[in-house]
Amino acid sequence: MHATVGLIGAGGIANAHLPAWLDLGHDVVVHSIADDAEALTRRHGGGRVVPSLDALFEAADVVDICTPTHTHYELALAALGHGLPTICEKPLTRTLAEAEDLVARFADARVPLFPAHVVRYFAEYAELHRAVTRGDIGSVAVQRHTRQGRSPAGGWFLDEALSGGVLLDLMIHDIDMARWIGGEVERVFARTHAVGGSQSTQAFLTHANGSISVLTATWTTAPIAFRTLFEVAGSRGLLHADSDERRPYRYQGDAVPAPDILPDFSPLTSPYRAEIEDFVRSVATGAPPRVTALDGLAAMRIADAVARSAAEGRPVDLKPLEAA
Amino acid sequence: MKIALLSFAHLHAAEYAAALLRCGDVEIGAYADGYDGVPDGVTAFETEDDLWAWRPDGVVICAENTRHREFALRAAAEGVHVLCEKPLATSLADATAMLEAARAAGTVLMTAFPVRFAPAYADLRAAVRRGDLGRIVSIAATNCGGVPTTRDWFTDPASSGGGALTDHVVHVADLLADLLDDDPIEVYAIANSIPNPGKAVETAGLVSLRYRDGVIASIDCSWSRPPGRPNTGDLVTLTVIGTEGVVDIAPFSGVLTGWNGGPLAHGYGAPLDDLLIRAFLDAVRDGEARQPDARAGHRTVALVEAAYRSLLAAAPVPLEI
Repeated sequence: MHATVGLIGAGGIANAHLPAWLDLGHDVVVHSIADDAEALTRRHGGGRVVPSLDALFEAADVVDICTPTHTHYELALAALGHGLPTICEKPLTRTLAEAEDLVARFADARVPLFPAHVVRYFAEYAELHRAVTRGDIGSVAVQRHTRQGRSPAGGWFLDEALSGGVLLDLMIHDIDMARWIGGEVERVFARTHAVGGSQSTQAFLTHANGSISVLTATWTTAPIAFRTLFEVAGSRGLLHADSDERRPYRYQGDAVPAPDILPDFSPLTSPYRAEIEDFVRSVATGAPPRVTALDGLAAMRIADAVARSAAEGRPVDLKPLEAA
Repeated sequence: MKIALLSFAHLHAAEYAAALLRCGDVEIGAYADGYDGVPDGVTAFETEDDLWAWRPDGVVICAENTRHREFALRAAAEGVHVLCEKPLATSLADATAMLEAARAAGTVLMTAFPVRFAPAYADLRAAVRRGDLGRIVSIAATNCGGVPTTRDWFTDPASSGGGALTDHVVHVADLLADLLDDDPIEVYAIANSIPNPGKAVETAGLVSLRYRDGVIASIDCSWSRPPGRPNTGDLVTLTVIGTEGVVDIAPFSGVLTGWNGGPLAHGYGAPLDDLLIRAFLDAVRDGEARQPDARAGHRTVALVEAAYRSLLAAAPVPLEI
């Protein structure tokens, strides 16, 4: 299927999505309310800037929302108003109520909505899921997922009301991963601690199958490299990956690397291309993608429980998600 | 100087015996209590009373966890200094009784936390004290191993007092207490028996801590390593997140790896047992406890007890010392 994609937003994550769309041979129109769309298309050698959202919806077969978190809900509703299949950067929305409403409306209209939980397409995490599904470690027992990096330099990310902080920026990935590997979550307990621009959230999940998970997400003002790691222990085995180990490329020297918000990945297995490919295939065939709107909603329900638990200092129980 | 090993129930008895032998100038006795492993060069006694009649200056208690109290109280009554294998006790009441008995007798009571002597931990402590990390935001600690299989009592709650939470929380809890110079105010724990199943105790556990200054910490204490897994040097890890720096330590990361038809993994790390034993011998010599002392053991027992209370309550509980 060849599509014209309406890419909304031209900031950080658009720099991952645009080249992936172009690489897959799709046409892209870009609109951004910031003055950064021309620079984005120039940087990646493709895409056409359009002056308005209406022009974007007019040209698009599918929509890709790469804007700040707090704008996802309204923009996705606008895309739904045009009946356009939509890929939405994670988190699906800023609030759980918005996510519930959005997912219900897309489902009612039978329009595909794809939450871009890209970590499911990172090679080591996809391999983790394959290995666990194959039974390599027996029954899942304990998961440990860690994601840490430098605090955002500024802007909307640091405004909790707009971004949801380190919980919705980083931990939402590992929430989705822990649920993908360990199944539905029944109970959440979390603590969070912020000092200036640094913030850690530690969340304990109790899954319906009795397995347990600890998720740690950190932004720190210390100048650290972005790092992801997991260890998944089962009844008779153990799986482990750490972005700090087994690096295929390591530079040491005086050259200053270009600033890059994206974690390292192999271009051969680009997770951004893989998620977009999966979305397009799903739209074309009707087959469910690896991550569904309900997965995005489930991640938001758990994230909401993490926020409430941390605020109230007590465990939060989750009722089973009703099938939609 | 005369030092006796009191029971060989815990495998560390053989390691402490080897460390004592390396010290020289120490007469070493042992009451094995029916267990094997007493090495050459150590005088073995038939009964516990024979050991006390030998008049040791100090004893190293390596009995089953639930029997630490009984032996420590006897040592205090005999006026003998004690280095006690961790956990110091399996209840706060027992730990308190041991601490008070030693205090009343004027004897030394130390807790065997060899990781406290790890150079990587010393570097971390110094970096935190210097301010290299800025203000501490959070700590993530792990002490994960396999299910102890060489001695059956580890998985018998009547002897061990519990599973992974009892066995593996205290080492890193001791490091946290020393590093932060504080105890947590609130403890939450979850556990299961999924890894290495079929045991009467929990084999997986996670503990969440909150300190009065807002610092948060997590401990993964799971016996989650499958049998036969080669040493990858990650027995104990700490990640300390600060506003100006982040430190990861792995005190047992010194592992030579290779292959000879199967994986080779030979740890070559620092001889921490030797440092612990030397600290104890110094304490016996002048009657002044060295770190890690009775309080170090006591506060970690309080934390483990809180973790079990949290499991029962399915809620966070205050730490009670």
